[in-house]
Amino acid sequence: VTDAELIVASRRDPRAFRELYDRWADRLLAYLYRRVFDAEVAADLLAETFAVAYERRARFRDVGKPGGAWLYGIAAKELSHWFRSQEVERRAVHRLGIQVPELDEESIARIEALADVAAHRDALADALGQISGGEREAVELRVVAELPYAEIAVRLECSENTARQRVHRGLARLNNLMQLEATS
Amino acid sequence: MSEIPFVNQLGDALDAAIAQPRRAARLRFSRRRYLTVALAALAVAGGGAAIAGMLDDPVEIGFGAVGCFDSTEPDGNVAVISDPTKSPVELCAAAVPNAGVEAGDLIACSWQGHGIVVVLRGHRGGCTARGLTPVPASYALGRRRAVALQAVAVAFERDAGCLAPHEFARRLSARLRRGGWKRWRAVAAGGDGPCGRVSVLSGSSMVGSIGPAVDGGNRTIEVKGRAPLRLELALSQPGSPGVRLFDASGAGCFTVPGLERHVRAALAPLKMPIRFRVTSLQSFVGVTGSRGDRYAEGCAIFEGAAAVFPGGRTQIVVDLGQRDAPER
Repeated sequence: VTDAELIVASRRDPRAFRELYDRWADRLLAYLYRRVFDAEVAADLLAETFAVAYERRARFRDVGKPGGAWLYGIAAKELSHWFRSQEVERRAVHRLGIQVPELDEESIARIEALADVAAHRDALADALGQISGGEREAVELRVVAELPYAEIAVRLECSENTARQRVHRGLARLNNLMQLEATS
Repeated sequence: MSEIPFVNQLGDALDAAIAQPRRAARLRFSRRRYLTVALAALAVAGGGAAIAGMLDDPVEIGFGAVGCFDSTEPDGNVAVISDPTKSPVELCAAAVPNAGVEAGDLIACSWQGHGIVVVLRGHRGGCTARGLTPVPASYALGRRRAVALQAVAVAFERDAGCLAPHEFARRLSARLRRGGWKRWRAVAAGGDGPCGRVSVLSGSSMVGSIGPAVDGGNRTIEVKGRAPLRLELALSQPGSPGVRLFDASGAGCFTVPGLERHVRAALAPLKMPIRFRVTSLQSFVGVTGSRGDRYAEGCAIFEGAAAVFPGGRTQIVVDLGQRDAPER
């Protein structure tokens, strides 16, 4: 059964949607994590991505493209929103009444392993040299030193919210730089 | 099963939420199937859709989704629809034509954080009495701008024929500039098909909607490589060969070769290569009406047709269903 067939079938039977979820959830989570470097944000984005996909399944048209591309498109849009607003949209999750589970330590460790974070940290270190000082320091504290936002705020002598914004802005620029590098 | 506990837990939570009928149910449409399909194509997910009250760009506001509720409060069954050519009340009244609801029975309000919602007027007074606010004036402006932009893009697409996506985007950008949309441009955005396209076919008359292609924040319209417009219309527009085949396959008992001949004859004017896939339907795929009866008798039925592009060549893939064929 192709992904596209599962999406179409899920309009009538939720089991088909669960099968689609099981096929793609790990890969999408790794994709999201590699872009935000924050397991909690990636987990929230994953939940919203599938909630949106479930709500939009009636709009899906099978034109021969892989169904996974459709899911990545939704995830990319959620990522884009996050980079702009520093907030994960949760509207579809709320509308569907999904109780998003807490992220446990084991899950975080497995997500990092799945996303092959070590390899991406090297590429990130190269890109870090290309962004401004304030954002670079914030991103380094978050991604390289893995400090919580509260501690980053203390080190940067700013509010926690400001620290988050600097990290997110820096990551957005890095994301662009790394995508350019990947396509060059 | 995933090795990540969170992924499995989230999957279970998703299952549980979907199983709640109050959330998962949509307004029931008792129209012919093609109309139902057409309406379904209008449904958009509010989570990813433009939410009118929270966006700055008027065009994106205009393309924002409207939630049509079947109660006097924004609660219970909901259909989420986007079409700037109609007011929210017209849109929701048209979405449920057989439910006995008329435009006068409905009231449109703005729901903070959710966008525009339409509820039954009842005896609850206006929006404020329900804890909602009136629809902002900016919404009307947004709709007008969205309709105007859509008209330019759809007219261009209709007249363009099959242009490669980059060329389509270049020419549409020029058309937009000439039409006064100086800060807007069209950009090629992938797709496997040979023809640049910006609209999706939606609504009972399959009008072109460019809402999904519009990025109001960047003032761009995404051009994707898809099938020629005339081909999509021939496969899915009401009264088209594709829709007639769907209905006709329940009218008699076809063998697979017989139905293939019938389909080839019906689609011959399109002058496209046709490939057939014959499968039995999975247990959870229900077939209703006369098509369901024929399928249960072992007859072949028409499931659908779509354009695909193997090796860059456009081809029609026709799915036929037969009980004894291998499972899809």
